[in-house]
Amino acid sequence: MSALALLALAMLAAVNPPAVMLAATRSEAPDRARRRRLAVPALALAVAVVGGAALLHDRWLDLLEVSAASFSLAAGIVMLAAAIPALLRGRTVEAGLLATGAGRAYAAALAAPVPASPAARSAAVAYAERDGAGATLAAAAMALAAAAAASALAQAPLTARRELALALSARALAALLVVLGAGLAVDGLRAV
Amino acid sequence: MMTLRSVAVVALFWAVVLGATRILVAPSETCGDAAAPHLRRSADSAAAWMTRAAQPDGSYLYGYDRDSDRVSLDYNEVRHAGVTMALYQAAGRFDDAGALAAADAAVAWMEGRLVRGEGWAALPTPDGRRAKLGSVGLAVVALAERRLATGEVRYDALMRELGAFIARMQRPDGSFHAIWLIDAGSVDPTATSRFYPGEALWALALLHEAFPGAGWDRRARAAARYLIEQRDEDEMIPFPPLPDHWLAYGLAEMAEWDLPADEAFARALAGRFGLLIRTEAQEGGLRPVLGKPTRISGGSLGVLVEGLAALWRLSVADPRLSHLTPAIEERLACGAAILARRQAGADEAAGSARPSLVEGAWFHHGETRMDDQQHAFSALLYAGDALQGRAQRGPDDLLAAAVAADSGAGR
Repeated sequence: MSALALLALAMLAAVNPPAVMLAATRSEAPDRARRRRLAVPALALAVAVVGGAALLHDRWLDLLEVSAASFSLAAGIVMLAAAIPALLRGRTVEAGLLATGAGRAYAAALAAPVPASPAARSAAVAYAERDGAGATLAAAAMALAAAAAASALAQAPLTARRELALALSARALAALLVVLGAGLAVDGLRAV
Repeated sequence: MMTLRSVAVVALFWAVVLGATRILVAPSETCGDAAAPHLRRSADSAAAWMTRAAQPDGSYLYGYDRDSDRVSLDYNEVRHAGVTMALYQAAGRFDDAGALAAADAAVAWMEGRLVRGEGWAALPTPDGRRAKLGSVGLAVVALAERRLATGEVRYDALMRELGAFIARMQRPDGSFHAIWLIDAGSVDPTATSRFYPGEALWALALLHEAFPGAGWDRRARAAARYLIEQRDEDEMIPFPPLPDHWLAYGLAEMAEWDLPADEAFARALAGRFGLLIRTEAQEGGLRPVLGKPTRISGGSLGVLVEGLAALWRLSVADPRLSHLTPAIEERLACGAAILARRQAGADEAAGSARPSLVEGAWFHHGETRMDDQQHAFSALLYAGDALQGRAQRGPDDLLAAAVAADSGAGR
């Protein structure tokens, strides 16, 4: 698997599109037509947030006054913190924000805190430092596009089978995030 | 409302996670000025402290508590040899005749105490009952540093005798006995040491550099292999590898010998030094939570920087490790800057009861010990070298004072 594909998988785990799709099908969420209209601006905003974190990774480190190695350790812990609730509950901590019913609130949530969560932003900074900002930005854009598509295409109500498949997918990505978070943390511990 | 409640839950969750991570895992790291002249001044000041600590009998002032204005009456021959080594480094690199004189007196102090066996010599403990591998190892290193600084060979026979003791203490698998029982005339079979074997390794490597073809390299290779492959397990190191700066010195000395050190081990060792220096730069994090002091002593920080500086030389010499060089330099700059920042300067010394024992020293809980200055000096010297791209550890030219003495003797 290429480095970019691995990075995209990592960002997919951090963004977790199946969890977004599950949340988007809650009864309180906007209808599908409205979610489709919101997808593009939300995606643009999310890419700006996560991509900005990747592009400005060195500025972030300067601002926080931490070395890349220490940030890697911290990012790993943040990813673990995000992954464990998702692993246990089948949805991310932020996913509840999508099921608010209000269009603007949904759009805001879809843009920033849900796919572009602190875990995704931390991952973007850590991976940009390690693998380069360009590749990380591309990987993040793919993962965020998948999340936006998941929101736009989600069809409520879900069949039981589809809901189970989505929950399992969300948990699988959360499990992957646990592995990746642990890996980043160990990298941070071992780095010079 | 559902929205506000959801937002509050998410905000609280992330505030706790991010706040705890920031405070405990990744607090801001403060280093300081790592400019070459600044590090050089700091190293000079540390060398001057060690020179002033030299006593008329050739020993050193062991330690000083500035809060109670008390000097320590303890002594330790391993640290005596270590400070002597650092003074010879200062003599060679800074053309410091005062350091040379103090170190020569310290060698005379050691010579007056040596115990000898069949072809070997060792430096006993102050009670005269034991001889430690570590003191002999560092005595060899000190004399090797003198040889590099002066070009003189007057201690070659003693170096060989001390080397023979190290060889006597080495087991067939490359490991070492730590203690020789002088009255019993045998090794202490139960004694172990975490750091003496690394000191012995470096000594063996320098013996080979001084006297090639005498078989010291074979012993050094065996020692290195043991230290890399087995020591951490034998010493039950909880989080290997042990951050052994002496091992790093030895490996760097052996960089051109087709080392047994694999890339993974060197990287792990560099990572351990780096992690500990980063933690020191944080001055907080988990340490207060674990009940540990927020700062370590000058000597303890010095050994981390020394070890990493040695691995910098290794990374420059060994292409397999060249990818580590930039990260090592970044961490060295931070570690050396912290050392320089924490050193007691002239202003601080002026307000103390004994300014000459304060200026140039590193204090920890009000106390300094001679090896604080020894390790910090070597750390500043070699970190400064690395930051200027100087891979040669020894001096460029022979010490002018020694050259003058030689030419005077020849007239």
